[in-house]
Amino acid sequence: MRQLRLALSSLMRRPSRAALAVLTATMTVAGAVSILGLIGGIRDIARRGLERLGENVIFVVAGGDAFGVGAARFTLDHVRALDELYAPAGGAQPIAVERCALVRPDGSMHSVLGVATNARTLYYFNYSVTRGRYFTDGEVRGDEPMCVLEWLLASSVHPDDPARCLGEVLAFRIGGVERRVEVIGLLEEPLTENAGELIGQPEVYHRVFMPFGLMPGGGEVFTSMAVKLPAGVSSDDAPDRITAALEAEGVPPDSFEFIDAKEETEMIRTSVLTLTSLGVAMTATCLLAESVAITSIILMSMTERIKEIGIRRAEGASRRDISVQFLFETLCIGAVGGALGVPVGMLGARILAEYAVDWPVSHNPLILLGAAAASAVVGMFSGLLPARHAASLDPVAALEAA
Amino acid sequence: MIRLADVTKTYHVGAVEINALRGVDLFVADGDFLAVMGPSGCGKSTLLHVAGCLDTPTSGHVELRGTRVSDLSERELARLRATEIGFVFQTFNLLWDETALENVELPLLYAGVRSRRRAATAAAALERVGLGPRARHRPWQLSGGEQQRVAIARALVKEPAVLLADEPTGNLDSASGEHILDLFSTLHDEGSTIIMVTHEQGVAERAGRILHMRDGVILPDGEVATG
Repeated sequence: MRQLRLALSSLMRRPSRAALAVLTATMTVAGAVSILGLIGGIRDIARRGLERLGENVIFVVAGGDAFGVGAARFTLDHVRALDELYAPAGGAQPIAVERCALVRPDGSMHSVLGVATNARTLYYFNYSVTRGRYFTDGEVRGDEPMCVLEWLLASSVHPDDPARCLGEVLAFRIGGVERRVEVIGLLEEPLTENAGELIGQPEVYHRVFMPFGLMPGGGEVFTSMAVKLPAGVSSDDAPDRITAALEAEGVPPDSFEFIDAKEETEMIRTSVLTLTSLGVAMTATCLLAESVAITSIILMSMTERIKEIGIRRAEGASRRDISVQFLFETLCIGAVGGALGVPVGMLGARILAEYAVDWPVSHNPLILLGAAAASAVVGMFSGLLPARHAASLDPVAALEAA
Repeated sequence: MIRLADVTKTYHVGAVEINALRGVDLFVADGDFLAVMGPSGCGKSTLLHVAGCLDTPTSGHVELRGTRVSDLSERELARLRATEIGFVFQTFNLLWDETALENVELPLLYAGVRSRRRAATAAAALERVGLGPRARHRPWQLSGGEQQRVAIARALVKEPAVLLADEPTGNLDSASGEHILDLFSTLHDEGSTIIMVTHEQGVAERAGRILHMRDGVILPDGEVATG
C-alpha cells in the first residue's frame, strides 16, 4: 500500500510524463478492444449463420448436365423413402427453390428466392419466427396462400417498420403466374443488413418461405431434399445409404448430388477461427507496443530521476523498495490505460463499424475485463527493465548525478 | 559510537586505480562533534559515505553502535540508513517536487513508520530547525539556507546515531552558513554525534575535534594537510 501510494504520488508529480504513458497505454488497449469488438461482431454473424444451417443436415440436390438435362425430379415418395431411412430421430424434407419476384405496392419488382417447404423447416433449420407463425402441416398444400418472410425482405416492403408486413397480402410472381399471398410470419432480424454477404450467402436473408403447394408442380415435384441425420450419426456414409434408397425408388444415381452442410459449417468455422487468431495476434501486437512504449517512456525519464533514486537510497530505500516503486508506477500506468482504453476502444469500434466496415460490433464483457487486466499486467512487466536499472544504480554515483 | 578499522576503498576508473581510502582507522564516541578537513580528492567524502553505509569498504570494517555493518545485507544496510544515519549534503539533495514536510518524512517512510505518526514527527523536526511555517513549501520556494535546514530536519527526524555532514555550508552565503553551524552546535550540545567534512578552517573550528586527511589517510594529530 505504501509503495502504491509512493508510485501514485510520483506519477502525479510528473503529470506530463504520466499522461504521455497513460495515453500510449490507452490507445493501444483501445486499438485492441476495437479490433476484438469488430471481430466479435463478425463472429456473431458467422455463428448465427452456422446455427441457421442446422445440425447434421445433408442436401440431396437435383444435378444433371450443364443444361439440367437428366436432373432428378424428387417426389413425395422419394421423401418418404429417405424419411424411413433415418426415422424416427431424423428424416427428410422436400425443398423446391424457385426464383420469384415480389411485386411491391408501387408496382416495382424485387427479385427474391422462393423456398417451398413443409412445416418441418423449423425442425430442420434453426430459424426463429419473431413475429406471427410458421405454416402447419395442414397448410402445406397451399389451399390458403400464405408465406413467411425473412426480416430483410419485409424491410424492403416497409423500411420503417417491417413488422407491418404481418397480415398483409403481398403479390409474388412465381413461375410466370402472379399469386397473392398473406404474410403470416417474419423470421428474426439479422445482426446487420449485409449479414448474408459477410458469410458468403448474399440471398440467405432475403428469402420467402411458402407451403410447397404454392410452387409450380403443385407440391408434387421437388428440386432438392434436406435430410436430417439423427444426432451422433456421421454424415460420411450417408451419401451411399441415400443413393441406395433412391436407386431402389428408381432414381438414377448420377441425376443428383450431395451438399453436406458440414462442409459449409467447417468453412465458416475455419473463417471464424482464422479471424479469432488474427484478433489474438493483433491484440498481442497492441500489448507488445504498449509494453515497448511504457518501457521507453520510463527509461527516458530515468535520466532525470537518477538523483531522486540516490536520495531515496541515502534515506533508507533498499534496492527492492526502488524496484517495487517503479513496478507500481508502470502497473498504475497500465491499469489506468486499460480502464480508459476499454471505453475508448468500444467507442472506436462503433465509429469504425458505422463508417468503415459496415458490420456490427460485439464486445464480450469477459474479454473487455481481460483487456483491462492484461494492460495492467503488461504495464507491470514493462516496468521490469526500468525497475532493475533503477535498483542497480550506485547510491553515491546517483547522488552525485547532476 | 562509530568505528572504522583499517578501511580501504579503491575505485577503478577505466584502467586507472584510485585509492580513495588507504587503511583509515577512526573512532568517534557518542556525542562527539568531529570535523574532517583536507584538500579536494583526499578521501573526505568517501570516508563519510563508507561511515554512512552508502558505500562499502574494499577492505577493513565499519562498526556502528557495536554492529559490524559489513556483515549486514543490502536491506539491513538500507534499514540502518533509514534509522541510524543522518546525511546532510552540500547540495541539500531534497526531492524537488515534494514539500519540506514530505522530504523530512522520507526516512520515516522507509523505516515503516505509519502515516499519521510520520507527519507529526516530521513536523516536529521542522519546528526544531525553525521551519514549521514552511512545511508545505517545496524546495524551490525556499532559500538555500532554508533548504539546508530542511535537509538537517530530515537527518534529525530519525534521531540518528550519527549525523554526517558533507560540506554543509559549501553552497550557502556566510549568514546562512553561520545559522547552520549554530544549529549544529545546538544539536551537539543536545548530545548528537556529528561528523562534518569541510575544507574551511573557520567551519571546522566549530567542531570539538578536527582531523586532517591527505591522499586517503588520516594524518597524525597536529599534522595539517596542505594543497
